Amino acid sequence: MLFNSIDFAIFLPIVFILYWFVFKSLKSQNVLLLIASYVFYAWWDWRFLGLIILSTCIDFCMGLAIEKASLKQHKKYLMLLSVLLNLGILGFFKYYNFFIENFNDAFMLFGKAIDLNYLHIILPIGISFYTFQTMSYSIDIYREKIKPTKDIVAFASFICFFPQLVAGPIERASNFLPQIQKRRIFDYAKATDGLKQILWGLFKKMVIADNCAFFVNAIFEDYSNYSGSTLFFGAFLFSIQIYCDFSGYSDIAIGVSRLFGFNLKKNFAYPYFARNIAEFWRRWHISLTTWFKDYFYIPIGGSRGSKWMQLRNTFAIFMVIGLWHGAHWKFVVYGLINALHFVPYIIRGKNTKYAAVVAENRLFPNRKELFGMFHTFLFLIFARIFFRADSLPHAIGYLKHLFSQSLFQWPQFSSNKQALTLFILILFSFGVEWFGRDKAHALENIFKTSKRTYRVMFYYAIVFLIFYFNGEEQQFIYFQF
Amino acid sequence: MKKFIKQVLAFVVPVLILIAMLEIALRHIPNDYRFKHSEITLQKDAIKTLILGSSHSMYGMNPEYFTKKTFNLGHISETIDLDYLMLKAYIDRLPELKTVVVRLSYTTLHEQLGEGAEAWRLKDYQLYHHLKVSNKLKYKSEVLSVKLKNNLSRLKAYYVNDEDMISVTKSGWGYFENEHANGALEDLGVYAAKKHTLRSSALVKANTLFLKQLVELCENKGVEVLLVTLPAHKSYRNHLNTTQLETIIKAGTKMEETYKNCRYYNFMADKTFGAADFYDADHLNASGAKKFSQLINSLIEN
Repeated sequence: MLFNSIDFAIFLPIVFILYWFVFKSLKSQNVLLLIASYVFYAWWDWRFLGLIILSTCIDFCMGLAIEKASLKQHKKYLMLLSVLLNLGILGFFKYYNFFIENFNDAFMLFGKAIDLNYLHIILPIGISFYTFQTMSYSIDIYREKIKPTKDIVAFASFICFFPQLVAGPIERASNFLPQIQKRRIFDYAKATDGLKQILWGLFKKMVIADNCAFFVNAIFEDYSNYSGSTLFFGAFLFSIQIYCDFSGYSDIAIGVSRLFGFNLKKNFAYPYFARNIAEFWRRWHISLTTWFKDYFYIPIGGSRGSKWMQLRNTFAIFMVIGLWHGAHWKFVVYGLINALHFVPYIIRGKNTKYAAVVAENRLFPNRKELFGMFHTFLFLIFARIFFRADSLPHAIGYLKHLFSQSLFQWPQFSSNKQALTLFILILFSFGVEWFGRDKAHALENIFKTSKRTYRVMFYYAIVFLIFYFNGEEQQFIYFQF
Repeated sequence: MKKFIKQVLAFVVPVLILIAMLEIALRHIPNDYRFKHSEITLQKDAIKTLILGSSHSMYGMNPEYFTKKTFNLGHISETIDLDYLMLKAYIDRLPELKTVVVRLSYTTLHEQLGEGAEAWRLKDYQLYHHLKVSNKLKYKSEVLSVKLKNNLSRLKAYYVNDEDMISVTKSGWGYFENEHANGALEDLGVYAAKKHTLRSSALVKANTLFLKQLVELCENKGVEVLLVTLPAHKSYRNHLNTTQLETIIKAGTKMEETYKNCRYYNFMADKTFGAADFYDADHLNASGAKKFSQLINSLIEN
């Protein structure tokens, strides 16, 4: 079920009413959330429900077993078993054909054809998200950061909580399980704020991202027939699309959770206002980057040790982040390019600079900040070509055409009027985000001190824009991961 | 909680009322789908030949030039899965039906309406032909399936400008306002060929099955099927993908070999059709449609 579908617009109020008015006890509310989450997932494909249930059962049992084991060594084996099982499931569905292809290619290099068979595997939606969630649970129990739960319903609800099930934010048991095990009390301010966040998420997804997709799909599909300048705008629009698509999803997920009394982790913190690449990665897909930081980067050494060690670890984390997105070399290259851009900051020890929000207590950024934002965004535009292209050769071909003489021609769009409208809408959305950049979400403080009428008028205007300018419905980009 | 519910309702109810009013107003606007449904219902007892398909059929075959009573049930962007559903819905209501003419175009086996950019047209089949074509709720509504921007244009055209919203004759033939589209045929051909050349052949198997089901349905009812590939301008033909085109031709030939009630004719490169017969590179204009309809009629009569 898509957040921007009519089905969800009916599903959400029904669950909300049942949750607050019919199932009032903690246990029954959790059961309702579990059923609603399974229905939400099964709407896409009920056959893969078994996989979530299997993952849930594995880690629920492993969690208890790790806790029960008396020897540290046994605990470690059990944790490793849990990680292997989870990665095994993920590896089979997501990376099986990738490895087969590369095995075949590698043997061919030595003149031996092994011709291993490919399998027709459908990638279950959200598998990368919920697998990482279940894995972190077992690891955290092993690290004695949390105690395992004996409540299977609470645990299953944590794994498949419908707002964040298919595209995150990737939750940690330490944040979510205490919330689900505690009675929720309806909070008016939290719920209304959640609605605002949902509205803004829908705007970003349906108006900005889906309209960008119209141009991006056409340009990337047929790049050889466009001028370099048009390809530049194609890449620019993709950068906008992926941000509005994914952060829009996260806004809706967080907003919906707040309606049910939950606080999910923040997933985006206005990453396009970042002044360097290090700051960008602290603000982009936060739940994934912190996951990798805690369970991969720090265990392999993190920022401890010599500069060389830091660089090695940085390259390693970016490679796995790249691969997490999918079984393609283009994602590995995307990760490596980001890592390369990180190098000067690590060498100069400036990778932790800019912890605070840009232009703090000021309306506009200064020249240095503006330059930092511009160069970071420009870098991302080019790096994301690897992300969006169908393959590595596609990305290289795209870049070759982009850096041709036609880069200095006036770009051609299939509809200039539509392109102009889109640019105005992008300016509007980034304007709103700029004014809310120190808040949890862009609409948190908009018109807060003005009359209620103005505030309501503004929300109606957003609703109108959604209905008036919504693009052709596109699946959320991160569903494929 | 009460305050929250009250405020949400106060915000949402006006939007819902507006949506409902828009829906009513939009459904009152005449359209080709409802018009064809009502016309075929009125003429059902006399129809002997039924034309199905996309814009190629809708513009390319004019029932006025058929000897026997003919009705053109084609719609813009209609795909073979919908051809089958339309036939299934109407065949039992047409007691005199003897022949069904179906276009076998370059894209027929490679696309389905629900999978493309014009999926919003599914609502027309649901709302006006009363077919069950999708489980998605949005295709049960005008407001929810079409952009507000386009809906407002339609409202303005009908209620303010008093425009005629029907673009087909009583026998279902669609006509172009002009003889030729803007732009050179050469350019239009390249553009259309590119647009119609589809990267994926994922739907070929499913669409071939729909084609078979369509012919078998006719076979069971004692109805003959004429599969026709319509004439196209050389600027279109020369830019087609050979593999995609061959898939269509092979499918048509195979159907003719397999089913006794089925004949296949490929007129794509028919030399009797010149630039004057085309509205654009892959659609016939009124004079082209006349010529082609007479040709098909002669095949039916013989």
